[in-house]
Amino acid sequence: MSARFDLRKFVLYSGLVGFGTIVSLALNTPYSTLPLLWLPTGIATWMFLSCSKKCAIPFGIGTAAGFLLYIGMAGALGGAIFANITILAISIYALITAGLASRLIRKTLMAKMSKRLGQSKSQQIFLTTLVCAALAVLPAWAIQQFGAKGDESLALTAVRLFGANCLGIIAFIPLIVGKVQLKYFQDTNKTRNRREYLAILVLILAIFGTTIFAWYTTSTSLMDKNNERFDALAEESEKALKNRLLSYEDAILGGAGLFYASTEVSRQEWREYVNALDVVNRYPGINGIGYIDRVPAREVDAFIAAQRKSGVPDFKSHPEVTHDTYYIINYIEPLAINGPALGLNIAFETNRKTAAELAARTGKSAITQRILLVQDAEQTPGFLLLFPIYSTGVFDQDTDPETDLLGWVYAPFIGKNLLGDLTASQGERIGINIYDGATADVTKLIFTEDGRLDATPDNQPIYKKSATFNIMQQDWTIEWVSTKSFETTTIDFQAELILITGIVIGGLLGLMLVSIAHRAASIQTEVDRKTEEINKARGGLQAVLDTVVDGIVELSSGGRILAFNPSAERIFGHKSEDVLGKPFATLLAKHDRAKYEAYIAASDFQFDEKVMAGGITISGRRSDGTIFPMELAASTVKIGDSRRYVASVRDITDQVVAQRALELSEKTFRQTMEQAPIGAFTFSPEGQLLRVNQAVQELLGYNEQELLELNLFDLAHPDDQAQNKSQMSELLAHKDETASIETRLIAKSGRVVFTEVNMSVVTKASDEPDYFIAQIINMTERKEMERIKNEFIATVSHELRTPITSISGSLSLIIGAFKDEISPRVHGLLTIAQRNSSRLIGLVNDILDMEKLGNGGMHYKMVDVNLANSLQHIVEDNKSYASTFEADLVLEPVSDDLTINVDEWRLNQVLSNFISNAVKFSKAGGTVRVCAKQYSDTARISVIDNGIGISNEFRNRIFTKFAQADSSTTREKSGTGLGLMISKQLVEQMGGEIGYASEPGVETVFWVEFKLQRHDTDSAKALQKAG
Amino acid sequence: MGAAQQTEIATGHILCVDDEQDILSIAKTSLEAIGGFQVSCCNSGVEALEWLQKGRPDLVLLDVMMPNMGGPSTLKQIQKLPNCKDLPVVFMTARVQPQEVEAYLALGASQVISKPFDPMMLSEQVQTILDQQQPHAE
Repeated sequence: MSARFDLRKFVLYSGLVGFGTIVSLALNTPYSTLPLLWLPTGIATWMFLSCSKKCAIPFGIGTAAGFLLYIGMAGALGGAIFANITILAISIYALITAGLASRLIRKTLMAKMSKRLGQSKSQQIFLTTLVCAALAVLPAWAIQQFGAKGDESLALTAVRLFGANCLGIIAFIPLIVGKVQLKYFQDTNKTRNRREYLAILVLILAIFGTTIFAWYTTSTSLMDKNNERFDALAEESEKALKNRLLSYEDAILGGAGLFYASTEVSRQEWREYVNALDVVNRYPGINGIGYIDRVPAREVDAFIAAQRKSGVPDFKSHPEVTHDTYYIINYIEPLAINGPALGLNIAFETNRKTAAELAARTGKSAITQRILLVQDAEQTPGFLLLFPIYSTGVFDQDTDPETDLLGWVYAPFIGKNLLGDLTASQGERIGINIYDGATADVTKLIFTEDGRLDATPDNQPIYKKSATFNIMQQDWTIEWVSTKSFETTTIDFQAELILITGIVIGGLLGLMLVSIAHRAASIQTEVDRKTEEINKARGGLQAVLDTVVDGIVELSSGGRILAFNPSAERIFGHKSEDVLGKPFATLLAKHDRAKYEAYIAASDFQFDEKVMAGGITISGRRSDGTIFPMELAASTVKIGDSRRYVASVRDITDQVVAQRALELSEKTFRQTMEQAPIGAFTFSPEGQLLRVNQAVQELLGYNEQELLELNLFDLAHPDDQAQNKSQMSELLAHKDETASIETRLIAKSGRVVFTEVNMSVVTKASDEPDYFIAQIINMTERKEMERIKNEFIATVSHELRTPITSISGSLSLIIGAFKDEISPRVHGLLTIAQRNSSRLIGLVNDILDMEKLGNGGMHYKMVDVNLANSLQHIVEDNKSYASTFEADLVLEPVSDDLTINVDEWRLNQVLSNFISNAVKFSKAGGTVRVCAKQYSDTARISVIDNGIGISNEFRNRIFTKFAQADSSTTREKSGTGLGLMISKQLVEQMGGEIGYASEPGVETVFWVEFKLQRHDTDSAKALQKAG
Repeated sequence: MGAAQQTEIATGHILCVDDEQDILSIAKTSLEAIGGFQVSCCNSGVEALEWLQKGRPDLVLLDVMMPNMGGPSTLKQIQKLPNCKDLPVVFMTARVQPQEVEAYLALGASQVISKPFDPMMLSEQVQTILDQQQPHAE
């Protein structure tokens, strides 16, 4: 009873049942107490139905419909039908009740029993069947005891109801068994379906069977009742017939008494006697009463004469046949209707003669067989009743019929007159056919109800009864048949209604169950499909188990191994089949087994919470006896009531080794860091200091406690903070491993410390930055040194330049403006002096440039430079210098639209350097060419000479400091060896490229390349086009 | 080249200010011999200011690095002198980094001539400056 108690449904259902009960009572039917049974049955049904909510609605509707049908019929057809429909209805509820009972029994009683008897499926089925059969047997026994047919008393009806219930329960057993099987045998869906449908079929057949039974018993009982009524009518009729005949016999005996009383009875006296009897009114059917004389043949004439004499002048014996003895009707009254019979010799005809002689022989009344009376104009069958008269008085053993017989008192009967109205119901409800003789021979019909004597009646009566009586020494077969009007009173559709209702309700129930089963089947199909999917997934899972790196071991609730995957085999070195069924403890090292056993001791093998949660480290034991560390994690799997464990095992030998190495490394790192002479610290990506060594504390003057509460960025000089943060974020963005920043930090004392911080990122497994490791170098002293050095160089350069300016200027003036005033020899020497002073100036300039380039002090004034103009000036400026080397400096034509963005002054410096080198290394009278060309989006400016070129060994270091080719050249060279190096740095810092190509002795090209200013170029072109 | 050029361009009076006597001599010689200028010399900024209170040259060549009163300070004082309005002052210095040059020009210098200067070219440079100043002067 899984469903919870639903008050609303309960009230609804009870209300419905109660309403039905009240209505039934109000109708005041004979069986109005029976619906009271509906209340408990209905509640039981409700309980059953609330087991399944899905069933409740169709069952509820079906029940209500059946109920209304029942009420309607009870109202329309009266009470008689009521009981039988109740039988049917209660049968159906009995089925449901039985089902409920079996459920309860199975759940409660059998649960207890099965503990003793075991849980075998067949035993359960057996028990269920047994209990249900017992349920069925009890009412069955009851019906046998009290279930007598007959009067429909209330008690007997109740017994019949029980009988029907019993049948229902018996019919329900296969269904229950089927259900039990469904429950316990995990059959395939189709089989299960078949069984379910079979169970429904059995149920429906049972309902139909019950219906037919009810129909049969009802119709039989009705027939019996009608038969009894009919029999009563027939019996009444029979009695009436016998009584009538006996009373007629009395009349005849009266006549006989008349003869015995006097020696002679005159015709007149006879007439008076008969008249006194008032035959017509008191003895209906009797035609008259007469006297037949026995007349021997020799006395016939005398007899006739005597009769003529006595007042019947035309008396004669007829028909005219000859006999030994004549039996002549002498008297017959009332003569008016019996005239033709007077004088009739009855010996002429065998039937009459036989009956007369029989009566004479026995001395008792006798009736003839079927005869046609002569006095009956219609010639319908009739008979004669004869009583013999003897001369010796009343017949006794001394009487000799041959000698003593005088004649017979007799009465002629016309069948239809005698038998037409024996009882009040005759002709109305019952008809009589009377046959002469022991068989119903149509030719011997004495009487039929419809008057037709020639043939059997066309219509076959429903009720019919026949009996053969010996009436006054004559066999009569009497046949009673029901009349239409009688049959009409017996017409009752009760049985048929039961049949129809049963079939309809059974059919509906069947449909309903089938639809439920179908629904269940479709749900089952869905379940099967899912199950299949799960199985497939399980297949996949198996593959996972086979390939997973960890060892997976399935354990029973007792800790024994149920499954052992390949990885587990590998880890432990055991084959799966060797360990299955063994306790898991055998796979553990002995010293750890106690630890493991402790778990078992704690409870009936339950892994410790810790094991369940995250796993423990425990020592395993391989098949070769080696002990290894492993990680054991387990989880509980509940399958029904049983519990299993899935243990995951990982060999962590490598991990442990690695862990130890890591710990050692960590320790080393910590010690190294602690004792390092330079500052070392770690910090979070947010700048929070995490760990600082002694050197850092000394450098900044804070103790460790203070530092760990500080943020690295806050320690920095306010002017450096923004730069630091941007550099940090760049480091994080580019995921560079290391970075170096120079920053000023403020010590606790407020002193500014120049530092260089080298840091590297340590990332988490997720690739997110975890923390930074940094070394801090105190740059204060180095910075100071650098400052001094730079100042020194600047000062020296400046101080050098002043005297050189003077020297150089003086010499220039002498050689240039006053050469006429000196001798050629002096001029030559002064020229040497002037050249070397110029060289000295160049050297000083180069050193200053180097210094600036080295510390980032070089600044550029980038402007758009048109090469055509600019190169023109450069070449002009260097012409005089070139001429001193007897070299010709030529500018090749330059396109007007080449514009680049550079510091013009620095470009000049670079190209001048190229030109000075070119002219210096040119042969005397050689030509140095300067040209500018466009290469896609760049402009290349080249300085070309045909000098000695660059030797292979020099090529590698041509752009390095103080690089000068070995001076094996024929001409004197001047230069610092810094020019090309400076040029390269200048060009690259301006965003250009520098390069050369040299074929010694043939051609040497030095070039620089800068991006063309696209915009200007385009506009220039546009202008040209417009022009 | 000499004679023809001298007569042609010898139109101005130049005041040279430098703490180095040698430099002054060379500049004076160069400007007189090649450019045909009339040249006066002062050894310091103070001296130059004194000189300028008495007279007005066409152009002042002013050294930047001098003891006591450097070039820029001297220039400021010169600019305050009523008779020296629109007087072109040219700095002579070894410090010719672009931003340094810009700073000097911002102070009001007409031009910056780098040291060491070429005495053969000095007159021409000075003349060019004078030519440029001419329209302003008028």
